[in-house]
Amino acid sequence: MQMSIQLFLPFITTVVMLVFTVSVLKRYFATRQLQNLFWGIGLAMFAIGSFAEAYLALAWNKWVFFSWYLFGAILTAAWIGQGTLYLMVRKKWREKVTWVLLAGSLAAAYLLLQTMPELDLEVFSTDVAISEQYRTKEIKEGSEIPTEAKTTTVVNRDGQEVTAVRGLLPFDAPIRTTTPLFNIYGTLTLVGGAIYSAFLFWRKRVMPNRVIGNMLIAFGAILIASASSITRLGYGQFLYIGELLAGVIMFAGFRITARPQVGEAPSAAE
Amino acid sequence: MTAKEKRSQQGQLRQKSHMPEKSLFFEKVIPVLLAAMTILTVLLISFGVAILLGLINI
Repeated sequence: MQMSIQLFLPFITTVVMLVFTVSVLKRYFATRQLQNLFWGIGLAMFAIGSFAEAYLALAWNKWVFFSWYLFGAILTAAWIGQGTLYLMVRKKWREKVTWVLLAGSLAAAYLLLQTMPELDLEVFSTDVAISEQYRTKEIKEGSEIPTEAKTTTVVNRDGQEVTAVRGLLPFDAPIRTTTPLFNIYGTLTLVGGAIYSAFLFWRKRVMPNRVIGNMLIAFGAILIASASSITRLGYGQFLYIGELLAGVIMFAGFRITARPQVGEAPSAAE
Repeated sequence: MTAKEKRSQQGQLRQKSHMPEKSLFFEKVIPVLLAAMTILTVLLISFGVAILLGLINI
């Protein structure tokens, strides 16, 4: 049962995200609006991350793991959020921020490449979701060590030797510091941007579809950000359902926002 | 199209691109949800910042 859930949830999410990505990119090719391109890139990264989760429930492949961590865990939110930034700030600033994001993404890819030879492949199992086995977790005092867990001794930030449950990534791998950095930026731009847009339309009492659509986009993004935060705390079992719900809700929000209102010129993508 | 029909059509268009008046959903529920989502977003960002600063050690 566990096996089927960790295989099928990410697979369904992949299909949803691919349809979502194609829908947004079609809009970009019709309108040439750069926000659609960045959303499309970010959503494609989301789809790659979900596909990697499904694949890693069947077999090991280090490049699939690389794709899962880079696109799924680090970059997705920031690149989708970059699309929202294109709607919110002046051209001069958004171009500068885009270069910073690109350089940061390349630096993250480089850091992850450096970490790849250090992966602890002995602990990998297709029976456990990748979100539950990627990190080496310190066992806090008083906590029980899970049965069948492979443990090691590590030095924590306080300089103490502690027992840890072994994971694929080494304890305190520098690449792990990049995930909050990119995800803070992604949450701020994607969720903040959607909430701000919804608020503006609500205040002007116009475009109710954009109020509701933006709120759904914000809610979907909050859902995935919450699932990622809970995963970071060591409860990775909620990530896959969070991703699927987030994908469906954000797609619904995008469709509602893009729907032309009566009296409004129809969108070129529709 | 008569002037009366034209006015009626314009009224309908305006109604659909504007929020319905005296709607409990748009007047009360939406602002509460917006405020709740803003608070959640601030909490999520604070969590990320706390990890970055090493205040939460995980």
